[in-house]
Amino acid sequence: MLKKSCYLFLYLLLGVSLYSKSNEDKDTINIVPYNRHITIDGTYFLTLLFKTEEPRITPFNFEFNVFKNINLRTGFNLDNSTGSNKGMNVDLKIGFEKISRYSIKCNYYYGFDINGTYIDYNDRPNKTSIISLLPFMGFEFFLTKQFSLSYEPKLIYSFSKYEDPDSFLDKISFEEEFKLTGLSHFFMTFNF
Amino acid sequence: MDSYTDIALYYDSKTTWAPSSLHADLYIGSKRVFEITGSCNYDVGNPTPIPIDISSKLEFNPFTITLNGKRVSSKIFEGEILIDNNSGCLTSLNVNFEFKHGDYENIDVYEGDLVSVNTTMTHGEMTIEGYLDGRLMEYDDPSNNRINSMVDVDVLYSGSKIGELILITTSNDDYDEELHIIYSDGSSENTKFYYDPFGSNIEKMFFPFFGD
Repeated sequence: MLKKSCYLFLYLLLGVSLYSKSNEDKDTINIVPYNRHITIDGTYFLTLLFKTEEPRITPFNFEFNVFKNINLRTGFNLDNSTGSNKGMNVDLKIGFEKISRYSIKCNYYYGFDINGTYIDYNDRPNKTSIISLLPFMGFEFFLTKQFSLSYEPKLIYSFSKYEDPDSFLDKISFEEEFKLTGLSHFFMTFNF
Repeated sequence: MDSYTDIALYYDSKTTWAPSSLHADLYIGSKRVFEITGSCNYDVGNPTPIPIDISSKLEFNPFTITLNGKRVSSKIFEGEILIDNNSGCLTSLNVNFEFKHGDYENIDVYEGDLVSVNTTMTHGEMTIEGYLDGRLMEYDDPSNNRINSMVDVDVLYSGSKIGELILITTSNDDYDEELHIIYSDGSSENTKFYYDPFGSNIEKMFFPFFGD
């Protein structure tokens, strides 16, 4: 499986690189007319190559250009099952990023996301609610006009509420956490 | 050993011979002190021919330990351990694993392939029920609150909940993590109080067979 993932990744890069040769004189910020973007968390796509350190961040995201060089970012994730030992897990993310040009092929950007998470179970009353603030800074490299790779380390501040009505001790508990993400924030972006 | 059979399994371009049944006794003089009986069926034909039905019994006179395991479906597995002293004292442990997929060669619990683990341990009127949300394994270094939220371990007596286990960080200089039992009246106790003597008793029980 690891070999397959490596080959898939290499084929993808090779194909995109060859295609990019025909577009190599394009200027990413000034010429690229696209103002909608779909980003996929590369570590979800290639989970065997990189360890996903923060599973609560949405793996599939949309971005819309709202002002000059400012994008609105949204993401959504739903994992729901009626199985007795399963339940619902919802993530909703919204944020903004400001893009700046570094070179013809490279941009850098910064901004923040706000992520909300809700987890419950079908066979037990436990519930978890998490609200997170995620300031980030990223670097984006355009392989073609339509396809780019970016690396986006984030600082995560999370405020969590844990509910366990059956507990003898703490039926509700709260927790704060600061965390810096690592390699998990490699993204693939399709611009259209 | 008076019987042993094996079966040819083809895996990773190689043929290996895996045990499918055995029976063996150990006598000291004319007294039988140990007996093992086991059988195992494999998923023959699957690219990953895992064991799908294991049944074994170990007898350390007077104790009998029964170990059973089987695949319920492609994603669900059950295991059972029964310890019986053959005079009414029975301890049992049942474990149920559910995985996200049946591609056994590529199951990685740290990448979300474990859905849940359910355990039930019974000794007389006492039952310990445990549940683990498999998504917990995806987190690097989860906090105690997160662990306690995604893992439930309840202690029941005659069907009524009398306690629960939680993980806490001690306030001493070492900030050790300890497993405590919280009783229904709100009082708590380190579970080391129970499992330390239990471990010592197990060591004493097997000392005649294996030594120190």
